[in-house]
Amino acid sequence: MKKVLAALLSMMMLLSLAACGNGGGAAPSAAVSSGSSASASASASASAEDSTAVTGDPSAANAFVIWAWNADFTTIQEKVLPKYLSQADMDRIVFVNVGNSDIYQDKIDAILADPGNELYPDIMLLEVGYVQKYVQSGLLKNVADLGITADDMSDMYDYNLNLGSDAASGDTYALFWQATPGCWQIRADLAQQYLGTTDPAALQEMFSTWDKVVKVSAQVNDASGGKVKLLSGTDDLKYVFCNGARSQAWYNDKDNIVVDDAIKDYLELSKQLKGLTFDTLMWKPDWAALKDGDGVNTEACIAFTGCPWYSYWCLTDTWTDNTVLIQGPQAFYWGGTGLAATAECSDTQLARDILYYVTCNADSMVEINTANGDYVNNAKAISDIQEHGSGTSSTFKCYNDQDIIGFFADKCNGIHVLAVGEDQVICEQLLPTAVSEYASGSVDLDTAVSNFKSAIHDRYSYLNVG
Amino acid sequence: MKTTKPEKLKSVRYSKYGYWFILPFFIVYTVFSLWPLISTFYYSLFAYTTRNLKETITFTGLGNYLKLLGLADGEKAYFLKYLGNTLRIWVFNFIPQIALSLLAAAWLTDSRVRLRGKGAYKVLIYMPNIITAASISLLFYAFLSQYGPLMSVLRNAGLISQNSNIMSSTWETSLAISFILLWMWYGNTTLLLISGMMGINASLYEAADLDGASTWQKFTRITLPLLKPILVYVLVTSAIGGLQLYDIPALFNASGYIGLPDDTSTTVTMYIMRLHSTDTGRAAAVSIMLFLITVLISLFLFRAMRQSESGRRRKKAEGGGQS
Repeated sequence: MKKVLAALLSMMMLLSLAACGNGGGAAPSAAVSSGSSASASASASASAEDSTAVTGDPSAANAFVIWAWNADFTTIQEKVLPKYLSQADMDRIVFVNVGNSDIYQDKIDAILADPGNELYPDIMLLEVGYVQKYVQSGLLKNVADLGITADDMSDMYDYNLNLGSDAASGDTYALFWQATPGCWQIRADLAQQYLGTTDPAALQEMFSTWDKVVKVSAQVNDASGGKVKLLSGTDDLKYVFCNGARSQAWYNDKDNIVVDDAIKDYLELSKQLKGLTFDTLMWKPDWAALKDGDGVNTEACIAFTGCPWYSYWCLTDTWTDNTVLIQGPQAFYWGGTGLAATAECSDTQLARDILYYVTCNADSMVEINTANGDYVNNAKAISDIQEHGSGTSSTFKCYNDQDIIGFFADKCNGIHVLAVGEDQVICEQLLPTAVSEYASGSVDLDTAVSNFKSAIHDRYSYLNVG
Repeated sequence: MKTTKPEKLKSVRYSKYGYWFILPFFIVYTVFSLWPLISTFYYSLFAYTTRNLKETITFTGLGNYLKLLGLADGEKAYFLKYLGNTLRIWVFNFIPQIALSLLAAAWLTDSRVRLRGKGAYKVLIYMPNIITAASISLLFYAFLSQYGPLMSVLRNAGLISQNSNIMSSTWETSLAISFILLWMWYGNTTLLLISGMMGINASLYEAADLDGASTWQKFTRITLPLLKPILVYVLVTSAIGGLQLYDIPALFNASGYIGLPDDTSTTVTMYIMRLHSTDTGRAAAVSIMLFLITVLISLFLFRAMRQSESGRRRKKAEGGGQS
């Protein structure tokens, strides 16, 4: 009996150690060498939980809940909305800030599956990379049902309207307050030194095609001995190709995965630029450090891709008074946030008012620009701002006082939208792997494309390799 | 009849209290380990497809397993690829780790070395294990990144080329992760080995000294054979932990559960995390596969230990007969 019991106990110990990975939680794995999934997920989720902040009283009977992953909306809520909504309505707003874009979808997906929850969203903020997932979910309210008319939306840029609409039915579900046309930001001091000019038109001519970009990259690399390069990495160009150059969506109507020719061009370009960039990935520390390099002692690069929010808020002091904006070889969009009311929204009138004043009304959108510098999604508001100016709170300034609003004014026109709900994962996670794999020379183009398709299929099993 | 009474008294069984004492373990085990294991297996038989928040669930039998192994039409064997990555990282962490720990443990327990401040050493080598893995990962990333302090110094000294970058090399990233794990866990392993070595009867060493045995002979003839149970324990726990490797690679050089560069530092558990929100069934199947591999490895190691023990006993008996 003792032997049996001892054997049983030791087997159980073994099982419980091994089961940690599956059950996701028992203590023994903490003592296991080489780390344990339990402790990692615990620490990761602990920090994530703590960052969710709820402002307002969700238990109030008439609470109106708005979900977001950062505090961008807070500025609008505090500085613009009080002028258009009654104080009583303002007091009802409960703002839930998840504080972490990586887990935002998990959080809202969980709460959307729980309609009885007092924090069930009345309005959600949705990023362009996945807004279509929610547009197609049937969980959002058609803005027409809220009372927002086609006329209300007539000043919006077309590409943004398409991003929040169901292409099949033409119904619109999510409305955007920002327009996010892409650009290239050229660092003027380095451009003068290595390219010999700071004139926007001359620079645009220099970067009007990808062949020219490769040529200039090589020149800069040679002239600086590798200390200064034109681009930080080809990863910087992913939005240009994903959100601009493509002529087909990631899959066709039969759910077969499509790798557009533009994506193949991107792979080829990355190979041509191998060694001519610093090979960094966006948002990583070494990428960020390149913005402030002096090009003599520390590495620096001349151009970063950008867009209005990026220029205003993400460039460092090195770039203030030192940036030339140009379009580059291709029009594209980068980022942007949509507002959508949920189908179960508790007060359609208030939802309509918030959506209307944040995304449709030219006067209030001029005020949004004043409050936080956002380049707003409203052609009329933009021409107002161009005409009368608007005091933004950003201290960012272009070189030689280049007119920022004027520069972006026509950049939304050429943007072509092919959005699907899987955009963000495909463009930000799966494509970079395919690009670096092909650029490293370890596989040929066909293999790289086929690996990329397999990776998409592996993540989204309902999409076929075809 | 009266004679039976004393017999009854003799047979009072105290062991039933023992069963009560171990009952909580079985309850906790059943609820938190056994039941999740069984339900995970159940989930692994279904295909969960979530598309635009609408979930469809279909029964596929062993379909998920065939997919993972690349046996289904149009599927790539990602599971095997990630298992290979995981094992590569684990092996290059474990081999130097066990060597380093044996050395440290031997020094710290050797009565002839008489190291000063043993306690301080033990605390110091255990220190890295106290910091959370997330912090360690991010610190090492900053330290080893392309323009981080280490690479900048090496580059400026002309020791590495302008474009060299640990983060874009499969082997360098993999070895860097192995090194972080080694650094984090060798203290823990050393402490386990020390406790094993302290359990060895000192008179054996004294006898060996009298016979004129060298330090190396003492280490290989006395320490290692008697340390075997502890070594197997270390190996088994490290192998289990190694197969479930997640935190360091997920935060070191990765983007969205894809281990860079080119998906070559993705571990099996990162794959589970990647799948669990899109296809719970396949994630469950990966968990079950991982579980089965873990059981196999553990059984193999336990058996190997038992065999060598009984083999030694047999050998001893035979040897005794001869002398």
